[in-house]
Amino acid sequence: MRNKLYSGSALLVSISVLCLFSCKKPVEETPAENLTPMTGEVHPYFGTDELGLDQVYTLSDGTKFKVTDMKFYSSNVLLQNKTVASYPLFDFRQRGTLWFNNPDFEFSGSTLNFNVGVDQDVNHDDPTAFSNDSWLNIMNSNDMYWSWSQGFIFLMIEGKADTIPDATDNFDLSFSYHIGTDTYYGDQLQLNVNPSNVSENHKQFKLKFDFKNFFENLNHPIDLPTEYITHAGSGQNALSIKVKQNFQEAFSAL
Amino acid sequence: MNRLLFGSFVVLVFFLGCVKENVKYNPTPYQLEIPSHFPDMPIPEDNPMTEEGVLLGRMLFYDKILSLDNTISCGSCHAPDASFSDPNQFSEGVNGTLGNRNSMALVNLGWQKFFFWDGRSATLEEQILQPVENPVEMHLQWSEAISRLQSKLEYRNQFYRAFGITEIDKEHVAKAIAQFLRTMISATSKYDVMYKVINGMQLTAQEQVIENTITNEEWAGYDLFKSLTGADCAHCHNGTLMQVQKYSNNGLDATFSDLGRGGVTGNPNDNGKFKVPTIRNIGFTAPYMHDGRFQTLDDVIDHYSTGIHQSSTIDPLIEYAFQGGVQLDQNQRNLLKAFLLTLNDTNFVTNPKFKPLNP
Repeated sequence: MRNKLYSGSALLVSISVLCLFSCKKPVEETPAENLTPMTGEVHPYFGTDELGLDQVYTLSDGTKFKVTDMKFYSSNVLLQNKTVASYPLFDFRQRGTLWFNNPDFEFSGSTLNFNVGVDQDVNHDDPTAFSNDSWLNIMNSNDMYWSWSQGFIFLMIEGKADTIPDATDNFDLSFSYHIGTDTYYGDQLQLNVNPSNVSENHKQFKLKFDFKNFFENLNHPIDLPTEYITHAGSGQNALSIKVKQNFQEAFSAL
Repeated sequence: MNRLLFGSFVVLVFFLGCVKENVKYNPTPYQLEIPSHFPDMPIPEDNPMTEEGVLLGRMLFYDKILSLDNTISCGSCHAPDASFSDPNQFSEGVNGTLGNRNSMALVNLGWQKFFFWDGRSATLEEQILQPVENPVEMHLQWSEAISRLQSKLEYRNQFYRAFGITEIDKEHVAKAIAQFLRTMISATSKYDVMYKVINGMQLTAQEQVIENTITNEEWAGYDLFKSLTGADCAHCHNGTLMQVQKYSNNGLDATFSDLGRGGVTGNPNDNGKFKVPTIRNIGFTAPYMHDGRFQTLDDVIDHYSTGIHQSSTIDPLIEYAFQGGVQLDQNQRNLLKAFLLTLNDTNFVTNPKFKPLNP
């Protein structure tokens, strides 16, 4: 009889405890205190002047040029070793200087790493299979995907140059640098950026991309009147390497 | 007794005939079949597709009631046989008025990011609102169009079935037509099989049969089409949509009588630029270019081969503009044309679901 009483009491207590726990309001995950929107921007320059699309600039050799498009993909975008953006596509004409916007980033430092291009693990995936909000989805990559070579264009610079030395602007020469394929995937870049507060809970950093450095790189300058086109094809290796290297070296922190 | 029964029967029939139709708002989601090699279609959250909405859109698309003198419908200038374009250089509006641009083919519109040759509409719903009031098209005030629709029982009922509204408005007209247009997917051309083959995608049994019909000339034409030192078409026309979505000056003129995109933005750097169209069904969509200036594919190939005009806004991707074009010889032209015709999708242009309900 006593055993039955004990058993009954134990059962009652167990049920009560179970009820108590099951009725307890689920614990809500509290967001990390330092989650904040983080925006990365790239500001094209020509020397000390901020560069505008379709505006005329003059190289040291007197060649006038204007940029009509500038786009690039980047992979492994890390800020203090934390992924801050997934394969963002910079498109100067469509989105201005915005590189990416991460609404919830746990900011902890200012060392930026990234590679220009799309890494080999992803470069050959079906571009229709990425989610609609991915910059790699074919609807977003648009002309930055080569369906005939199953891969993304890593960087694209297009524009016009005036190669006729007279007093008028002719802009007779089109230039287009399209770099893609695994061969030309970018090296890992590292920059110490200067994050600032856009508002109380919103940080951003800015990179400078200097077209003067791109064309007039001290080690491997691009002779625009003669080196005006590459699509990373066979026979274009020398210029493709130069474009890739100069593109990387044109970045600095603002 | 028999007379009494007969009389009762007549009264019953009369009564049933007078019972108001019970129209319900219980829309059925439309199951859009996205081809395996296409991306998801972005559908606006405020215009989900339904069977009832698509049907309504189809009714409206082919109804001449939306034009001033009841003589033309959307389908008048977007004929199914022409891949929903107009075989005339310029479409004829009410009272014989002519525009200055060729009607664009309506193909895979659900994936388009901007509309019209000059991109002045950002959404399909927005685009649809324009031709009804345009003086060189249907030239009917929306207020009158709505009044006409509201006076028709079949439209009152169908708008209620599709959207649950009793007061018709132009926004819901546009939504319905947009739903219908989003069903118009072209993805069963020979080119689609070629695309899948080169991208290592699995072919269906039917596609394998088609693959075996692809000729060496068509493959060679495709190589030429893609080649940067050949026809160099693929910079602007590639992928499943056979276009990149941008504006381009493709060297038609040295000076511009039609500013194109520049007329919208006011930016002289956009002068002479027009939307890059899809070239799907290109064999059905003559004449070509924004102003329909070229009657045949041979004319188009001639243009890119030797007829390019330099100008301040010419697309940098027209790489051989300095020499007038890519300079294809006759054999290359034939190969290129053979490939271009693989873009024809006969299933699309003959699909009965895209045709008028009561032809």
